[in-house]
Amino acid sequence: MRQTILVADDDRDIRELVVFKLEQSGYGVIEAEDGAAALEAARLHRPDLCVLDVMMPGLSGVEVIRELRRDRDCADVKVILLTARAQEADVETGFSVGADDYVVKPFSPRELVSRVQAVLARSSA
Amino acid sequence: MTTSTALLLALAAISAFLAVLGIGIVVARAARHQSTLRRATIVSPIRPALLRVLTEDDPAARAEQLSALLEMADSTWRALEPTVAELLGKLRGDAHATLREMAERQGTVERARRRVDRLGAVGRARAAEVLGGLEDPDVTDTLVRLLHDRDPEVRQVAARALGRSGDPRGAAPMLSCIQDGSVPARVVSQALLRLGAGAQPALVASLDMPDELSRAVAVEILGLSGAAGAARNVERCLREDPSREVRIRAARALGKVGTRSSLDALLDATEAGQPVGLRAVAARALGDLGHTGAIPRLLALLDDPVHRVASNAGRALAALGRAGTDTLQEAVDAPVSELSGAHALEALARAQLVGLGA
Repeated sequence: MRQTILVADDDRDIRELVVFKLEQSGYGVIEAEDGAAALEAARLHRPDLCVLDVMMPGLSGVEVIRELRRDRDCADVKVILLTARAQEADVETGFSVGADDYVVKPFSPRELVSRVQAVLARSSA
Repeated sequence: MTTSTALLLALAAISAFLAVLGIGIVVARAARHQSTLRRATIVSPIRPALLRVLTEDDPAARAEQLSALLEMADSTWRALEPTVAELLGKLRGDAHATLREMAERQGTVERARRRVDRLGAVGRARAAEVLGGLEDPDVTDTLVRLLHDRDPEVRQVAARALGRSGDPRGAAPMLSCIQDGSVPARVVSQALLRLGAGAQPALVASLDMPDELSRAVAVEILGLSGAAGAARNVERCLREDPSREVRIRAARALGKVGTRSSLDALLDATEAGQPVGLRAVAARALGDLGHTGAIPRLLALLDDPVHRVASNAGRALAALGRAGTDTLQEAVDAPVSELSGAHALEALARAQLVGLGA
C-alpha cells in the first residue's frame, strides 16, 4: 500500500517542491500551510510520516510534534523537522520533543527523500 | 488671524496630510498586491515545469527540461525571477545548481552584478541577495564591498549573503563590521555561524582584537559552531581576557568545545574570588563539558550562597549522566546543608520533568 506523508510549511515554494518530489517518489502526500492545519490533517489522515517546518504561524513544528505525541492515535507517527534553525540547541530541542530526523535548510530535495525513506524503513523494520 | 483660527488651520492641514498619506499607503499596497497576483498568474502555467526540473535526479533529463523551460518569454522570466532568487538561498545540491544555471543563463547574475552600484538601496539589497544565493566565491569581493554600503539595510543583506556564500574570506571583513558598528553583531553572528568551520581562523584571530564586542562574538561563535580545534584559544580567553563579558562567553563556549584538558580552566572559573556571573556560567558549562572529574566541585557548589551558582551546579550534575544523578540523590538523602539538599532535589525534579517531556 502507498505510504502517506504530510508536508507542512508556510513557504509555498518549498511546500510545493517537497510535495512534488515526494509524489514523484511514489508517496501519497497531504499538504498543510500552518501548524494548526498540520495537526488537524495528521489527526484526520493518520499519515505514516510528517515533514514539518519548525517556524510556522500559529503552532510551530515543535509544538505540533508535542501535540501529536500526546495524542494516543498519532503518538507513533514519524516526524522529520525541516528548518533553517541549525544551531545545536535547536536540533536538540527537535529531537527531545520526539522528532525522528532533522533536515536543515538550505536542503537538497533528493536528500530529504532519502531521509524519508530511511525513517520509514526504520519504522517498518 | 486669531490663535484659534491658526490652530484650526494647522489641524486641518495635518488631517489632510494624514489622509493623503493613508490613501497613498493603501494605493501602494493595492498596487503591490495586484503586481503579486499578476506575477502569480504569469508564473502559474510554468510552475510544474520548474518543480519538475528542480526535482529531477537524472542529469540528462534535467538538462533537457531546463533548456525547454528557459524558452519562456522574457516577461515570464521576469515574473519567475524573484521565486528563483528566493529558492537559491533555500536549496542545495542538484536543485541549487539548476537554479544557479537558470539565473546565469537568463542574465540574472550579470544584472545583479551591475545592480550593486545602483542608486536605489532596494536594488542593491536585491542584488546582494541574488549574489549570496549563488554560493560562488567569485562574488565575495563584491559582497565585502557592500558591507560598507551607505545604506544599513544593504550592509545587513550583504552580511547575510556572505554567510550563505560559504566563502571563509568573508569572515574577517564581517568581524571588522562589529568593531565599527556598521552591521549589528546579531546579524554578523548568524552569518558567521552559517559560514561554519571555514570561519574558525578569522574567529580565533578576532580573540585578540581590541574591541570587546568583537571578541565576545568571536568566542561565542566558536562555541556555537563546535570549533573543538579552537578549545585552547577559548581557554586562554577564559583565563586571560580583561573583559568579564568575554570571559563569561568563553566559559559557555568551552563547555561546548572543550576537551578533558579544559576542565581545570572551568573549575578555576567557579572559584569564590571570580565574578558571580562567570562562576554561574562556568558551573553550568562543567555539565556541558561532560567530565565526571567535575563532580566533587559541583557537589560543593550546591552549597554556594549564590543561588544561580548553586542551581547551575545542580543542573550540571544532572547533565553528567548516571554518576551526576547518583551524586544528586546522595545530596538529597544525606544533605551537607539544607541549601544543598534543596538544590539537589530541584535539579533531580527538573531532570525528571525533562525526561517526561521527551
